[in-house]
Amino acid sequence: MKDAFLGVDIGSISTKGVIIDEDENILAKSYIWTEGDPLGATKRLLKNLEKDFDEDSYRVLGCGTTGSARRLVGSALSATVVKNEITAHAIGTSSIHPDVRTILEIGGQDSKIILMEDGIAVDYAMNTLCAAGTGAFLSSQAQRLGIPVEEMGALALQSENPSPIAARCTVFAESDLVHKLQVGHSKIDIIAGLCQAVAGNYLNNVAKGKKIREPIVFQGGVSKNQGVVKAFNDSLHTQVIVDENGHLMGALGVAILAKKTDARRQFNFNIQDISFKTREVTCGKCPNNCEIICVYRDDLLIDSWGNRCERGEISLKEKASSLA
Amino acid sequence: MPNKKRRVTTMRYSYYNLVIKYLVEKGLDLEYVMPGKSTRNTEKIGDNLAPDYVCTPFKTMLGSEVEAIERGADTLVVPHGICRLGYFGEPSNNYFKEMGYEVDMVNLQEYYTGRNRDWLKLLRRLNPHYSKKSLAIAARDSYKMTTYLDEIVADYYRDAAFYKSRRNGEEVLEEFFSNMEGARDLDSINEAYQKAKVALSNLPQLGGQKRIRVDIVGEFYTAMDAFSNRNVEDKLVDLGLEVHRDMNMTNRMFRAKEEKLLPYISEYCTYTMGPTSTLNIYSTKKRCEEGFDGIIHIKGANCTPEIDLVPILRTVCNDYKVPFLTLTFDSQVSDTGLNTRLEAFFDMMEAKANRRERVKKI
Repeated sequence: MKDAFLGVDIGSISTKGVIIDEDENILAKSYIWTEGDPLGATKRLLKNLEKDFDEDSYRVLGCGTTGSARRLVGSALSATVVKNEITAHAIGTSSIHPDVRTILEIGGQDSKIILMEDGIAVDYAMNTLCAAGTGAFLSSQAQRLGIPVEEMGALALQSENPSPIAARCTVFAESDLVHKLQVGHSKIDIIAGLCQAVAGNYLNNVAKGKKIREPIVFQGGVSKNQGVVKAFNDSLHTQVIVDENGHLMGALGVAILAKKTDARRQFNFNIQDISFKTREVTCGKCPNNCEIICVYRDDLLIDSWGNRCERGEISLKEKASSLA
Repeated sequence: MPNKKRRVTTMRYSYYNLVIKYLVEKGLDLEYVMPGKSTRNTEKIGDNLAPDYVCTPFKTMLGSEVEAIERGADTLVVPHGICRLGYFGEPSNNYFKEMGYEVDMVNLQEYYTGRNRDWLKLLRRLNPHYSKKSLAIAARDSYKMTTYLDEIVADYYRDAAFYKSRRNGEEVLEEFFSNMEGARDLDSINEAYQKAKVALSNLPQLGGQKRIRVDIVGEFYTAMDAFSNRNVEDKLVDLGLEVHRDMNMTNRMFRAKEEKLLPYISEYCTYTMGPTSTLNIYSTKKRCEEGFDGIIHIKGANCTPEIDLVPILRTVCNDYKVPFLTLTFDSQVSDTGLNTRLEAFFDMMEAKANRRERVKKI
């Protein structure tokens, strides 16, 4: 029986999972939409992973979670590691590209840049207060134009005269796009313009003031869009590396972390059959009205968070009594 | 209001309301209405009243002023009118009028003229019969109280991650604040300080591990006010860091002398860029030279002087190869997003520190 490790990356738009062996080879992988239900998505993900996974010769001894729902899914899966997505991406990417200096990442609702030196992150930035120029922006514009978001990249490459689109803000971009359509720009040119706008917005905001050094790895869901890849190549005057598994780097990174830490707990795929529920409780003990999230496994409270002070703590006693 | 004491209030400002209370009550013989702790409701009031693109501290302060007035104050002292080229106090006055609050708003901006007689006018306006002697004594005591508060809080955050029981440390801090709130004179202020100082230094600490040190600089209000920065210092302590915050009242108001600080940072900045810039650049450079593992810069959204400052701090940190993080706060900041950034920053500092250790051993 050989050891294996599971990594799950639960993002706003998509949920990714990998199982790796001791040498960090990917044994099973899956990529599905989160559809606003992180726990449900995780169950579907596990089902997919289980199919490809050889349970007779491997056992999963550690499980890591990352992404914006890392805490929730982490407590549902009794994860041995819960890690932020920035560190997870840095570790995952440098395991495949050990010499990487810059990681460009554009996901569903966030975008980040990570600068690496000798395999460790030395600086990073993440978009704040605004999701312009992320995957969510592209998919809403694709919807407006009536084309599947997956086809945008191929269409963008056909354009010879991309239309400039003001992309600083999603709302302004949308009015600009409508205006360009109304005055007669072709759809193809507009799609290419959107892809350029995403790259331009990224470089002018998230990557502002950062020294982008080669090799550059571009990843996240948006890296599947050839139009955006081309736009980055054009503006950076170089070739960015897009990995076939680029969307799995967060999951891979956290699986590697699960392997590297000492904690070991055999992971059981039957978690798919357990019912998980979350409940939001408003504390109400002061005007701050903290929203406390309680997680239940088969009606037992297993974790809670969200309170800013001890008054909102769901006490261990309450936890114990609900477990009794 | 001849025969009735004024009931004075101000916005909520970290733990400095204790000092304001002392100064107002002992120095001017007026009543001080302690504003409540800021909550999400405070933010909401400010968000609803103020224009969207004004800076976040303005909204939070406005909200806490409204709450303070509702606690029964008849006089509101506004010290932050100096921002936005002296315009900051004006709109607040209009909001209070529109909402029908009968409050006498004292905008300190009107008295920042550089002439002493204008300050006398202010004092006479607040209390025509104030005693010069009591005021002088209270001013001296308030100065002491401010430096003590900053010192004890700094002691706590420096070691909090390493106390065997964090709760014991918190208890010392809570008792210290409550003693300061009850302070009647310099003796009781000194006593509270001594007690807390000794108690904190006697707390048993975990030994052995290499400490990772981080320094906080930033904007006047958000960097100091724990509510506004979502308790960022506590979050850093949770991560196991030795936390320093150079941006505090003592450093900014009593110790930062432009003519002393500017020569040290002349390679980065040759003139005053804003209310906190000189001190922030100075602290950043100093901490980098002292071998700190990271610098975190904190600002409220839409604070113009702080936006100007970021590229300079980044350059300093770049020159010294020290990780740098800038955090912008407004009422929409989510805890998840903040935690993600802080955790990643911690991982970065830790990886760097470990590597340094390894290199040293070789």
